[in-house]
Amino acid sequence: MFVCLYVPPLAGRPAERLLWDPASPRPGSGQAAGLPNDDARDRDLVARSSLARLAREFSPRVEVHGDGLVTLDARGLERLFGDAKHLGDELRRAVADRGLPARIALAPTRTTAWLLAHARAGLTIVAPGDEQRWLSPLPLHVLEQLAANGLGPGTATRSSEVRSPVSDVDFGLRTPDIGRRPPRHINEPAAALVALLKRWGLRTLGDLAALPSLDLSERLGQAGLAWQAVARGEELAPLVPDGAEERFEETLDLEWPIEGLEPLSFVFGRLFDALSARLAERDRAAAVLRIHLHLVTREVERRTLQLPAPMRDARALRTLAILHLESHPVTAGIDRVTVIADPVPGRVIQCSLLTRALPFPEQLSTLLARLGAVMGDGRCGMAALVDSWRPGAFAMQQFSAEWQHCLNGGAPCTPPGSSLAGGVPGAAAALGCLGAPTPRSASSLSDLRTFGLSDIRTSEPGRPALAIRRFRLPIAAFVTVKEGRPVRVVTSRPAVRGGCVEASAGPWRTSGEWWRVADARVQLDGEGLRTPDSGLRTSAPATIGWNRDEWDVNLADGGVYRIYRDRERDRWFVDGVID
Amino acid sequence: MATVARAEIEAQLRARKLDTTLTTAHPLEAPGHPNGAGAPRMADDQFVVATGIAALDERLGGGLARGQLSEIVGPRSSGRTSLVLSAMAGAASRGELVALVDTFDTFDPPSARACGLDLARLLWVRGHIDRERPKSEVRSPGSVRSPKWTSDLGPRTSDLGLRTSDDAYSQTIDRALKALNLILQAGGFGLVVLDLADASPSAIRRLPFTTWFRLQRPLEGSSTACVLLAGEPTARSAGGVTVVLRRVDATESKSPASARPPTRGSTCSPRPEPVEGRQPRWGALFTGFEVEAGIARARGIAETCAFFCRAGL
Repeated sequence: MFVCLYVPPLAGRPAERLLWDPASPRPGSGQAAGLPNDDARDRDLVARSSLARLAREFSPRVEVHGDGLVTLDARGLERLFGDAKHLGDELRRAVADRGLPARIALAPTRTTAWLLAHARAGLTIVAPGDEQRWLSPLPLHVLEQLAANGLGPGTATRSSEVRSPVSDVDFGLRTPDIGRRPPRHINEPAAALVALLKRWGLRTLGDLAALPSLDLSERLGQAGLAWQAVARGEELAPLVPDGAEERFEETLDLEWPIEGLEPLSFVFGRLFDALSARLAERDRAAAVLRIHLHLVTREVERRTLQLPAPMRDARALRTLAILHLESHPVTAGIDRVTVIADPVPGRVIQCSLLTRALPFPEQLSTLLARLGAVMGDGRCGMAALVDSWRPGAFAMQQFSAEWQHCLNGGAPCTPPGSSLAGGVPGAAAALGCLGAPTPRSASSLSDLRTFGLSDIRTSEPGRPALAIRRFRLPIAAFVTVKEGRPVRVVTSRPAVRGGCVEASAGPWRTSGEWWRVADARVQLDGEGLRTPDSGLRTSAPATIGWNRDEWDVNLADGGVYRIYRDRERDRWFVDGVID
Repeated sequence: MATVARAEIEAQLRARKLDTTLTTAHPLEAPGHPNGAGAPRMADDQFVVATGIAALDERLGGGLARGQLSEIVGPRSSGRTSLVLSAMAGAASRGELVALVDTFDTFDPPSARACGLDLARLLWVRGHIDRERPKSEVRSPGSVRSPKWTSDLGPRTSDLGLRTSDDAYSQTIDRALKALNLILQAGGFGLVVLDLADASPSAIRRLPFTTWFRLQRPLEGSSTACVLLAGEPTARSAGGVTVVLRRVDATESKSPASARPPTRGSTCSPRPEPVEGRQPRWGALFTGFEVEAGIARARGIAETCAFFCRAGL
């Protein structure tokens, strides 16, 4: 069973003018009703463009012949809708709900459905075997209408603008490109045929179907036979489903501009609810979210949110959008909002009953967005070691628990690209320090020896390693040195008063990156690299390497500090506290 | 007899998760128990987060209780950060996510990695102080004006002469508390640490006492253990513990020959000769220090234990 949905052109206008107009505004808008603009032509264009979307709600096998003419394969829908009558009623209800003036025809063949949709208004249902009874009374000019919409045999053979190679007889296998206006002369073969048949005294499709095929072929050739097959309702070619990628986009035009996040939250809720429903229907999830805000200043603010994991939960998407705009507000009122989702196939996650539950990506992304709003951009995430000898070097990365949803039965899994050295946890812990710009890079035990740190002991139960609390900006210190050792350390920080040195260890000389230079506008980069402090001469490029002697000192205030002397400028700093 | 009856009652309460107000360290086994008379029973990691230090975990009944607010306090260089990192490393090694609210941004990833912490499982929330430019800058002769800094990262110059207003300081702590609340509300983390070790006691005392009650609400019934790192006991829930750390002694180097090997591209300067009559302590190598931990519950310091923190990088 096939269904043809046809929205005829507006009355009083030539049919070819109302085929898709490239200059039509607002493609992809899903709001057929309630538009503030009362232009009948706009409503007609929107209605015809949403016909395909409605058809896909009933069947995935949809062939779009153009805006306003859609054929769908209804085979297999009996389980969902019942017999043809119930399916027809459902279609009629759906069409009415969207306000589409569409004609609906259900027939055993696609050709029969086409002809009846063009000839009869409303809902037409043809039972198998009744095709002749329904088609015979139809007038011949139906064939012209069919050809005008690019259907039927010979519709593309005489057009020089059709790029695809076709034979003399085109049985409707190729549909005209959506968006291209069919040339005027595409109707000429059918018009000429109909005129000829009328001169012969034929008036209906039944008359054409009753002609002897041999005599017809002698006079009109294969084209005549093809048109006769159409008049009989015979299937000329199989349905070719439209494989066009659906665009997940929702737009809402506002009757008056809005400002502020609260009204925008309601707008987002409406848009994301519809978007989420469409994604769920197609088992898709949004990997990237694009928000286009049309401002009253005629500017368009385009925001792109890279989601940490594909998701389609409307609430989570709305929260992320609101949090993003809260951190990066727009500068003017908004009169149109568009949200677009880049779809990816839905994820299949099987959580294990044997491991502890981890937060879902939707929860985690919302949490990270909220934390970013509180603490600032780039202040929340995952620390990653970098391949640098600079003390305390690190990089910030986006925190994600996506890979931790193990699919291997709940066994603890490692980040992709990492490796364990023979399964020794301690060695693995040490490996993470070295030679890898990100935790996902593989390294080996040999790197330890190469870097001269082969004596790093593995973690010992009951004997934790001492950690250092590092000051992001070293604290300048005044150090008294005797016989090459610091004996007194004083700072201006109230929290680090200092005092006499009761014990010290060192010095250890370390230097590096002397080849890296930077301009005078020094900044802290994502690696946590510290730049030289005051004393820069802006006339010369500054180096961002380091060259220092480090000491571990136990001061009279009870703290164990790591201090160092900058050998370039002969100044002392407190680097951190060993705690 | 009374002890045995009490132990049985406590065991039944724990089995029904009604033990949130119990103040004993761990249940004592009755004589004849399969585990042995008097042998303490280690709790399942479903209910506790082990610190990774066997002596301490034994006295904590397996570790820090989940669904409770505990605290690890002590003066500077008492091993509190190392202890917390050890607990975080253990939780991460068991497949849990851990979170650190670093109020003053003093967390050092390389040393944390050396402690065995899987950084990929750590959510690091970095605080910052909005610093003010002092009204009168003290400049050394020949220096140039420091470049303009961004308020959230502080000055690019050293800290000499800069002052931080009390408001900015309080805002920093407030932001950290908000972040902690968000993380606890979201859930899904095995261990969450709030680092207030660098906060002055006076600033912490200015916080409303209801702050800690509000933080306890999302913790109740969850599998998240929250740890507060501070300089002195501040707040904990009834089922939590306070671990008070104290550094006992800085260990001297026992083998001067086993000096730290030089790193690539660097040289080790010669060890200075000791002055006659004054022997320098530690020498060329600092191996770590001994820490004494006291476990305080509702009735004060209940037990103590000692462990050694070894120097890593």
